[in-house]
Amino acid sequence: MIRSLFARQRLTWIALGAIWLVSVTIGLAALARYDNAPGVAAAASGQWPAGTGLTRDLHGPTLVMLAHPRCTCTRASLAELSELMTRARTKPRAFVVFIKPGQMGDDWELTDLWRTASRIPGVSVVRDDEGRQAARFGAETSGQTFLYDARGRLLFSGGTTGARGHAGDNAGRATLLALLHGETPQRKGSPVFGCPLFASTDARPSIDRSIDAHTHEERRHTNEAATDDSHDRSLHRHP
Amino acid sequence: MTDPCIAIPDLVAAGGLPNTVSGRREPSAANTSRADALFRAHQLEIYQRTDRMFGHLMLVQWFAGILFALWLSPLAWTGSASQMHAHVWAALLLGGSISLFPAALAFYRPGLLSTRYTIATAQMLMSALLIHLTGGRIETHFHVFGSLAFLAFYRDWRVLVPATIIVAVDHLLRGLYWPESVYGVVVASEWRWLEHAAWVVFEDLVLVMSCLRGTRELREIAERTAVLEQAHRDQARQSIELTELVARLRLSQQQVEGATRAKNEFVANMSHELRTPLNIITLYCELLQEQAEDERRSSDVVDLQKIRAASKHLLGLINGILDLSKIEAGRMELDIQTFEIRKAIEELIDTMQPIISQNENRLTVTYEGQLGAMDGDLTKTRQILFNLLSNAAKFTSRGSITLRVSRGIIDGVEQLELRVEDTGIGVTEEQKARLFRPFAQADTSISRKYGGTGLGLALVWRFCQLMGGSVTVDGQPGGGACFTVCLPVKIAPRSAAAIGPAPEAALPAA
Repeated sequence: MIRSLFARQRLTWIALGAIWLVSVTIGLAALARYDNAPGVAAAASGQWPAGTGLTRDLHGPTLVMLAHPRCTCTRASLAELSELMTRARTKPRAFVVFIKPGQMGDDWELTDLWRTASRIPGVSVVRDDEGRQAARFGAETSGQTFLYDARGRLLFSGGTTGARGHAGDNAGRATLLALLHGETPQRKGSPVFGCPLFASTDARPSIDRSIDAHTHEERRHTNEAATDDSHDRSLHRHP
Repeated sequence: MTDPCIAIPDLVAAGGLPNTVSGRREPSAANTSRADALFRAHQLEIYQRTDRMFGHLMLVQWFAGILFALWLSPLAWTGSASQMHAHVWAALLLGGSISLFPAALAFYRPGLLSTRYTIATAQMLMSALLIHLTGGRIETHFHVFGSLAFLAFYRDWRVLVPATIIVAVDHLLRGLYWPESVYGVVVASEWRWLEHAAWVVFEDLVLVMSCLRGTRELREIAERTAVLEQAHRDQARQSIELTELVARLRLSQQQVEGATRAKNEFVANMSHELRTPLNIITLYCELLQEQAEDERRSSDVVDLQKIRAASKHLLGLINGILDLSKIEAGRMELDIQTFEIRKAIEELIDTMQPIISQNENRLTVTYEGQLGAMDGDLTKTRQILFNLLSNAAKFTSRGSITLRVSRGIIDGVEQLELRVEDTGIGVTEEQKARLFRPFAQADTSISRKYGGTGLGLALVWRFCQLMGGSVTVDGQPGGGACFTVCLPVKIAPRSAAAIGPAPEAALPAA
């Protein structure tokens, strides 16, 4: 009887072990699936959007990253941007645009991500009220990065991380580096991993997403920087 | 009565004492069995202790994971809306799932192989979770290597197997389905997981060596402990046996001493009782002899002379026994007086001339230097010299006997040295060993040929001991013998009781 009891106990432990192993395997797989599930890709046009208010470099590449100031996954995107800016032989003019939904209070966007981005050499950090710039660029996910050439043509659209919040070597950064080194990459985009920039309840700004052809054509032969501040007053820079 | 005469070598032969060779014990079958038991017990203790350590570590890692998640990614944002981050839920629920089951095993089923395997598996799964929670930071990957090192605490290399398999399978699956999550590239070589696993295997090799060495040391410790325990047991048993032996010996000694004392008292009393009628017999014999001589009854004279001689011999024997008994009974006392050495010796020599010349021997006496006076027992000193000269005269025929008398410092004490040399039959080495024992002549045939009781030299030895001196013998068969007596010239008054009966072992060996 005692032997039977021990055998039953042993079987119970074995069953519990099997259940445990299966459940944690499923849990880890679900977590991996979550971490590796990309966000909504940007519906970007092939040219620098009109009325962005950002100053595009007319003589070199311009990089724009749209980010949510409180998305923890974007910490890895900024780390990768920092790596990119360090390793790139041709330094692009770079912007990190943090969106700020309309109903949020003052300095809501001044997070550690803002400070991290501000410390990256060659990167300008700006606030995007109500996500107007994000809407102009067609970005939907935090960490969405665009690279334009001097003529305003879109070279790359994607993310700079390999998974949600995971820093390290990844296809997006490799492609951007290849482009900045004048090489021809195998791809022009990569998945974006990050928080959605807009909630379904957020009021999306009504933006004319026409291409900035006029500005581009008008100024492509000049050495002046292209600025559209006169078109869009949603951009703000903190000192 | 229990036989007290148990020698230590008998104990060794009987297996009572440890059998050691050059101070190192050879492991016996019992020791090997004990070493196995100790080894298994120690191993189980290590397994259980390490299980408990991992049980606590699991809980700590769980809480640490939650704190990490709350600190690094507390909220997930969607525009202006936020909710608790999936990592927090993962740390809470998945971390709990990973930790609680092995922790329960560690506390409820410690020491089992299945518990170790589960803990090893859980530890690797926890590494995977923490790597996720920290955003795949390379630093967090060290948790894998640290965990392997911790698992080596078990000193059981088998636990490294499931841990390594999990790491390899994790990289294999990720490489197949999400290559970017581990390799940073979209398309990775299908064998690249082997590179990652190889580094883990590299550490495994070092840890396996460490485990095997640790196990070997554990085994050696167990074997040494088993031998040590056996030695302690042997020592305790020997101690008990020796204690019993000493008690038995002490009891026997007391019994022997009691019996000896009773015997000596009996002999002393009996000798005294014998001497009185014997003196009367001797006296009446002398009277009868004189009467027979007067009446010219020659045949009676011869018979009476024989009776008288036998009586005197018997009286001498009884006197010797009486002296010996007195000494051994502790009733012999020294009569210390100051006397001139030379004068005392000369008086003795005068009375001994008939004995010396009995076998046509020649006596030469040499006095070296100024002898002066000494404080000692005159009677016993004379008795010593008398016995030695009688002995020499008895065993020497038509030879020479030399007495050398000198005085000097020996061993820091001023002593009188009497040396009696003869050209008699001499002594063998074996005879020297028992020459001074009572009733033990050099040879049984000696007694038949030369007569004597064997008490003379025994009394010499005891008188010398009583007076704080010594007697030694030298010589060889057929080459004569040389007896040397040394006596302090100033003897403190003391009785035989102060010295006690001389043990046989204290007798001179030569």
